[in-house]
Amino acid sequence: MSNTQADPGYELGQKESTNYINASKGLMSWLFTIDHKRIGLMYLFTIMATFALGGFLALAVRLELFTPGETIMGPDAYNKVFTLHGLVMVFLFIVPGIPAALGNFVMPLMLGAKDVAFPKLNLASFHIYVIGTIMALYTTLDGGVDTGWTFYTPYSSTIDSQVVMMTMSAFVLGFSSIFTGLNFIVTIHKMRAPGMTWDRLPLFVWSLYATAIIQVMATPVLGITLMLLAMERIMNIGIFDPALGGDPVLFQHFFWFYSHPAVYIMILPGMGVMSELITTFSRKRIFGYRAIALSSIAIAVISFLVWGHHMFVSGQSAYAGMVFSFLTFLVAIPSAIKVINWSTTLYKGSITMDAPMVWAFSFLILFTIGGLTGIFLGALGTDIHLHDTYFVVAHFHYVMMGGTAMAFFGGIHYWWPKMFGKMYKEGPARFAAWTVFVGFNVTFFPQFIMGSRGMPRRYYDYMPDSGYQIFHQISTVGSWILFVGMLVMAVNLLASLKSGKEASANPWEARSLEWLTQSPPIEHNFHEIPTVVEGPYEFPIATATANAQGAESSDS
Amino acid sequence: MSTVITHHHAHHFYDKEQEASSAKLGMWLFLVTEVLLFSGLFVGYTVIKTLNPEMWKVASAQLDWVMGSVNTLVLITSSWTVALAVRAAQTNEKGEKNGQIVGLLAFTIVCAFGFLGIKYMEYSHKIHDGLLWGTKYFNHPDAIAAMKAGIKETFSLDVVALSDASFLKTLEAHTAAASHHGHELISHYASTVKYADTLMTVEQGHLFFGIYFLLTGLHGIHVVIGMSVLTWVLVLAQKGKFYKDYYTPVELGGLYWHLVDLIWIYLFPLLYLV
Amino acid sequence: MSNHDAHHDDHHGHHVTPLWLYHAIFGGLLCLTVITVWIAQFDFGAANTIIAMLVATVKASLVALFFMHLLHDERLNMLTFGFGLLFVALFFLFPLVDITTRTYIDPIKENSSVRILDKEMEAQQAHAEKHKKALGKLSNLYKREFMAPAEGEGKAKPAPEVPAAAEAVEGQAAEAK
Repeated sequence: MSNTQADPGYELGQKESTNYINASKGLMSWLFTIDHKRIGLMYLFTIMATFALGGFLALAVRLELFTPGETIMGPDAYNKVFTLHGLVMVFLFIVPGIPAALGNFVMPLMLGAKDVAFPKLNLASFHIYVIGTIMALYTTLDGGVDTGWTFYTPYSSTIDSQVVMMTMSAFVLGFSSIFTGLNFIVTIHKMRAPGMTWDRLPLFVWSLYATAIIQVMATPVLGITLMLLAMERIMNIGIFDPALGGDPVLFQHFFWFYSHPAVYIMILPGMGVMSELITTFSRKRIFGYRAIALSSIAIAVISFLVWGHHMFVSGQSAYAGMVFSFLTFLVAIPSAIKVINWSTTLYKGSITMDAPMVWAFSFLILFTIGGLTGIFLGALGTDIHLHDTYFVVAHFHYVMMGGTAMAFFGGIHYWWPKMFGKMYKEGPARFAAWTVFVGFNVTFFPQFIMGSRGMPRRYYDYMPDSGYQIFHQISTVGSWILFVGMLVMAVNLLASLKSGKEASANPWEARSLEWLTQSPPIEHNFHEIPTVVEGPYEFPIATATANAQGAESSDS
Repeated sequence: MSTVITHHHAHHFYDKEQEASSAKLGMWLFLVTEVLLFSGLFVGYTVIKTLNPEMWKVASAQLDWVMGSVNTLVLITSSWTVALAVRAAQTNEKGEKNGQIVGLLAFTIVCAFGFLGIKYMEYSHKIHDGLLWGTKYFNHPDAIAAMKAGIKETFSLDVVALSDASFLKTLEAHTAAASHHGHELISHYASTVKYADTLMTVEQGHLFFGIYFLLTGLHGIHVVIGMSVLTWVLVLAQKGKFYKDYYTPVELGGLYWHLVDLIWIYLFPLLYLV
Repeated sequence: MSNHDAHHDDHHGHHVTPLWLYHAIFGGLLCLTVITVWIAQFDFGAANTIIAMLVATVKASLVALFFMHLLHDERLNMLTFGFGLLFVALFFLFPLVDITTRTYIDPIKENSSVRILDKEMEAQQAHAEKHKKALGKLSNLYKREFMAPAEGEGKAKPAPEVPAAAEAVEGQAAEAK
């Protein structure tokens, strides 16, 4: 049963009365905790709040586009709303999302460690994140920014809005991200339990490791980029200003040196969650463990070679464009390795469609669509036509929301019993997951079509007889379905905190270390540090499991 | 003073070894982020230089290589002393080397002050001559237009040509009576005379000085941060916290200071010599 | 020195560098500073920067390996730093590829590539002429085949396909030659 020698043996019956949640009381015991689990929870709730904010902004954008001309807001307000939607979703939700919330909670448990390597740095990371968030929101109230989340010069360096304040907020958030990444790398190197060799690491940990590499290597460049932009505005330094002999395209190089790898900061942890979900709910050892682990690292490194595919029409040299286009296709290889290995893991597995698995299937389908449309955009010639259209919008929402967000919610449902010791209601959870899947496709699939027909992104308006309206309307209706799904999920999860059934230590019968300790875990994770003797996915042989669980499998 | 305070490792580590090696790995990762932060400016340097090679040659010749060299020596010396301070902590058995650690750190901090002092002299010279960034650059069309208008208004004189030494003499005749603003106008015109054969002959010279101030400014900020860190370490060393089994803060502070030195090692030839 | 490396891996920073080595490195750094200043007075053209960077890299290596203990420290720390430098190299590489090749397609800037572009334009124009002729033939063919029976039921091909057909005809024409 156990994959360790020293089995702490927590079962429902012998659960201790104190755990990390009730070990100490009061607001201060949370705000200034150095327990990675509490910090993870605080991140989780803050991030969910920012997700809700970004989501409402998205609903507003969609509603505005329901009819041509002004529907609920004017063009200036529209520009600010979509910019804020982008900034909130990117910097406040997706980048910190899985690593800082789920990773913080689960990763030390998975390693068999008592905490991350630098608990105080971890807390500082959270505090900085909150400060950055407050700065961003303050900027919004103080006039807002309409540059888009990309801050392209020379527009951003000349326009009269709160660009400096907003870049400083992103700069501060960058520190938070660096601290998390740095902490994770050191933790994974130095804090593993005895016997936890590199080839026994859960794949979620591998993906966090790859993510942390990008966070540490790329985020400082975002810092200097935003600082230069601020200098450009405050001091007229001229590096990005053609009137002063500078080069505005250089800004895009700087920006995408961070922001392209940042796309993988967003998706890699999601892929890690996927690996956990797929193998647990197929009750089968993951296929190609090493390939999946190394493909994460490969993605991390290759992600630094492809940023110019955002700049095919920016005026960069055609030669650079060709090189970038070629290199872009390389990323498809490790991504495909992952998808194929997950699919192979599912093959002949005894699959149970519990709520986390529904999210995992959504990921698999949506990410595949997002990934394949990415190939169109990476092709130099095709991109000239599709650049800055709704095709791009649909593509990155399929990858970011269809990928990362689905994995995030799957992960939340997967680890929720571990976090709070409560089970949510399975029925509403599955309903929410399916509703979101349907709503997502209704929202974003029409955008592929209208994008390929030329509807530009970020536009406030479109001609009434241009044929775009029907797609916009389908898309907007889809956003409402999406909203309903999210609402059901939120209510269901929050209700479980009050009235959920007690969760056992290992409700999914998973094999990695976090399920060895009780739910919710005790304050320092383990009484006795476990000694690991086998990998994290050593499930009993599939046929035996299928017989034993026949009844359970058939009801889904 | 000649005793040590025993260090106990934090509860989530197995032992001091794990704690020290984790801290050091964390520091190295942090140093990598610092290198990448600076690399942005170095890339900017390279791109702007490649786009304006002629301007760059003329403009970079205006920096004072003697001051740059002296500053290099000062930083290298401080790097050496901080390395010795770490070694003293490494070999500190029972507190007999506490004084040595404190002395070496204090000397390092004095060097840092020296570096900043020289930097201050360089900066004030550049500011005096209007060798600044963007629109503040003395030869920027806006700045020149503002100067012409100012001279017209203040001295009732028309600027016919720039870099005219005899006109400068006419202007300087007003020096005694001139206001602060008047002095600024005169020294601005003096710059155009001074750099008649050099900076006045090339366009976009402000880009070089923009990069110069960005690079040295960011580096200067790091010098100040390094000084603060070393001061904090010095205070702890004074209390006898560091000995052969525990010297992580000295070592990490030292690493940070070496990084400041490493960056200057590249900055110096790139700005002052080539 | 390198023979020692393997043995020191497990010592976790307990290796104590002898004092004389610190002093020697310091002396070396001073000498290299003098060298880099002295050598800067000679003009080697484009090699100036390369020489200065080589000297700076030797200096930086001395600081990193000895003052910062990378040589005798855990190998992981050196890997970390080296990995960071790799990313710095990437950061330099691509913007430079861009700006050094950008003028090849920029006819506004005066350089030799403009002439290349002119030649390409001529070639394209010649090609277009040929194309036009082929198109003329095709339109005759088109008129003959499809236009004459004006009441032809749905036989007339939609206009957008004409260029594709034109290429085919052109190909045939070329073959005929």
